[in-house]
Amino acid sequence: MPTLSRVGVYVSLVWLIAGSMLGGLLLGGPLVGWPLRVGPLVRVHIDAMLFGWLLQVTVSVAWWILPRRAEARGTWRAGSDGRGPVPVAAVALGAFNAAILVSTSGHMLTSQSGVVLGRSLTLSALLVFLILLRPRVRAFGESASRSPD
Amino acid sequence: MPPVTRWTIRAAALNVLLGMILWNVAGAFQGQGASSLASALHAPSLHLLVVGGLTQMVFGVAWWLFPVRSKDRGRGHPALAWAAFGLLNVGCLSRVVGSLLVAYGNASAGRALLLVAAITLPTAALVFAAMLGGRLRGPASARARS
Repeated sequence: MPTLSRVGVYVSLVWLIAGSMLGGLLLGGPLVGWPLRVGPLVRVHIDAMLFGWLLQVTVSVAWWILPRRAEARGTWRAGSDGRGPVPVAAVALGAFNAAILVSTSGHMLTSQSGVVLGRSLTLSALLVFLILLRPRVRAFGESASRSPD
Repeated sequence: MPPVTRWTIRAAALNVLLGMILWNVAGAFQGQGASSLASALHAPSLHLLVVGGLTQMVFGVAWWLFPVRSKDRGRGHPALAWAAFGLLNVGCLSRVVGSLLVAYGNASAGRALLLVAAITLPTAALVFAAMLGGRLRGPASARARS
């Protein structure tokens, strides 16, 4: 499993733990009399679980598992292992997580512009990933490929 | 495909099916004077879809597909995987039944079930993350350990 996918899955697991802990607190807190600002925290919970966990684990595993571009291995465009330009993908992954932090902060501070900025950054980072992954989605035998390791 | 994966995929499919049914029931009753049923089913149906369906599907496939720890240790402790599977599904079921009981039946029993869900779902996520986190490594270290 390449480093980028490992980091992505690790971070997504952190979001899963944070999001589910918050969800447990939101569900159980009021039952045991803990006062919580439920409205903004529910939106933070949704962002953490949908974007931080599910979307990120999907993209990270896709980076690992999709067929590699064997014909372009070793070139700058395809990176050293045929998966794609790793620096660009790493920046996209970092921006994706920063964007979730921006939108969750926006929820907590009730700043609509913060939420919009965060969501726009999330969408942009995701688009970069989809553009990088698109050439690796192809039919069997369409070109030489290697199995993931 | 290991047994844990087969059962998590079956359970995930069941959760998605149930979640879709409840989501549609909630939608059907939205504006027809039974809005309490709609509000009681809205969040639990989303939990069935996202946690019971998608997250459980990711867990099952990751248990099967992620690099094994070593030839000796395999994928890890199956007992822990079964524990995560059980906790997650008990949590999802408690979430649905608890919400319905709070809205329509025995409110105290419903609250107790919601408390069960509030404890079991994050615990399942913790167990799941601990199991999969230990299996994330590159091909070089995988070869060295096997």
